[in-house]
Amino acid sequence: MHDEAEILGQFDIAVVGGGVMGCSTALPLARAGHKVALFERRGLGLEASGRNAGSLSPMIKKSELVAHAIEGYRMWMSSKDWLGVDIGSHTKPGLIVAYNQMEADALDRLVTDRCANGAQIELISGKKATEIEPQLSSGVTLAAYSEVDGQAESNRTGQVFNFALNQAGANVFGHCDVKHVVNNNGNYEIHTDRGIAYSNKIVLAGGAWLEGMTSWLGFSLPVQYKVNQMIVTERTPELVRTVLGVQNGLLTLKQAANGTIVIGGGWQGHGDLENGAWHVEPEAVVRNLQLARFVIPQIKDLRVVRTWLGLEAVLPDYLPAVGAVPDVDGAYVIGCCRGGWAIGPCLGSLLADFILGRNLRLPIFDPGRKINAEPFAAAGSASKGM
Amino acid sequence: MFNPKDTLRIGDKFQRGNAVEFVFNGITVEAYEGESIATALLAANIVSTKFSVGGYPRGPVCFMGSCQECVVRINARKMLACQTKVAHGLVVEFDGPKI
Repeated sequence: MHDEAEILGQFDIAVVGGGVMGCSTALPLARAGHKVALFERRGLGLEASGRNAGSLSPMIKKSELVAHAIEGYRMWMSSKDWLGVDIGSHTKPGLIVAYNQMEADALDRLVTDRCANGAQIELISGKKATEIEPQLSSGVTLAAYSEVDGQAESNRTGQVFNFALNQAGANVFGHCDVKHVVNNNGNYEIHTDRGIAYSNKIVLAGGAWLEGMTSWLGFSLPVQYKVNQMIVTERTPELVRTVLGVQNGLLTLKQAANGTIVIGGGWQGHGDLENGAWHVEPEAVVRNLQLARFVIPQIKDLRVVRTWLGLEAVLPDYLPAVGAVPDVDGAYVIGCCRGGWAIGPCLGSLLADFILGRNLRLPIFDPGRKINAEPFAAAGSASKGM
Repeated sequence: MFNPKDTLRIGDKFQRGNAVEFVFNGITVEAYEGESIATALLAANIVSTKFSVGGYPRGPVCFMGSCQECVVRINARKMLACQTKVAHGLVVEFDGPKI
């Protein structure tokens, strides 16, 4: 800290956290003419927003989020329209396969529920699934098929938002670590390692680090996090056409535009809030690959180029927090959305509308609600994919 | 005595292993024990050892196990030609799309 802290400026709205949530909130606010500052400890979009696998898959999101996920999908598919630059996205059919009666029943329930919430998903036979995805192993009993699916190059998140935020006139403070925030009766003092900024309103968007941030304001969001591992193979000619998943949630798989195959499924590595996500669990990599190979046998021929991890923030009820910090004027929080990178642009624009007092086209998710653990979360959740 | 297979090798002061033969894509290649497959192929004037995903010829660049451009198939396994030593009778094949 400086002895005499540098004053970074007085702003209308300060956003703390430069991932997809913070950036998607800051952008419409800046475009609405507000003086916006966005603080990011590292570079934009380098944590979970840049480490997720870029699946858009509205059909594997929770029921309450289907509409948000479809909008998120559309926004990423048309990123040039609202960001001014194309992140690189591809429509691909989504396919979730079941290999036994138990999985088929669960898939049936999932599809019925998601369709009731506005998703467009078809149940198809294993034979039909193999026509859509010719490399699929035999034994698929039932599959869910959706044309509303695809992938986007999530590793470019920071790059595209940096461009858009600068165009919109937002003040992006990259590599600027917010140490704490003081609520000074309607004017927030934001203490960073580069000086102090002042702001009338504040948005906390710190992903896995949100609990500590909300504690600055005397509130404690019970954030948990998952240390999701991902795997990418070497390049290969077209092998997989769909965004493919297995009903049990332990495998997601798709081929990127450059020919590499990105494999995930929520397998857990090792990491913590202090150090980030740094240790791959080799056994989980092997099991994830075995499952990938079971589903697409030809994968056995490919070599793994890289594995990596990211911290995915979740709340015990697996719903996001998007809204006002309870009992604190002018303070908001956004984050903890399962598979949230795909939905982030939608949630950010909703929070911006909420802050600006506009009508909301979709519900948001009160951070002050009573957050109960999801009844079925305990058993399988630790390894459920995004 | 001039031997065409030695034109790219340094002079005869170097103590080499025994002469061996291996097969690369049906072509018999002469080499010396102790040499890597990539070295032996280069000495035999074979510079392209695979095709890229886009169908372009590729061959060894770094000769130290880093660039991955020299991947070949040996007993159906992907191996780095620069990190695998020649052996008499070895059968080595192209990797990548067959064109």
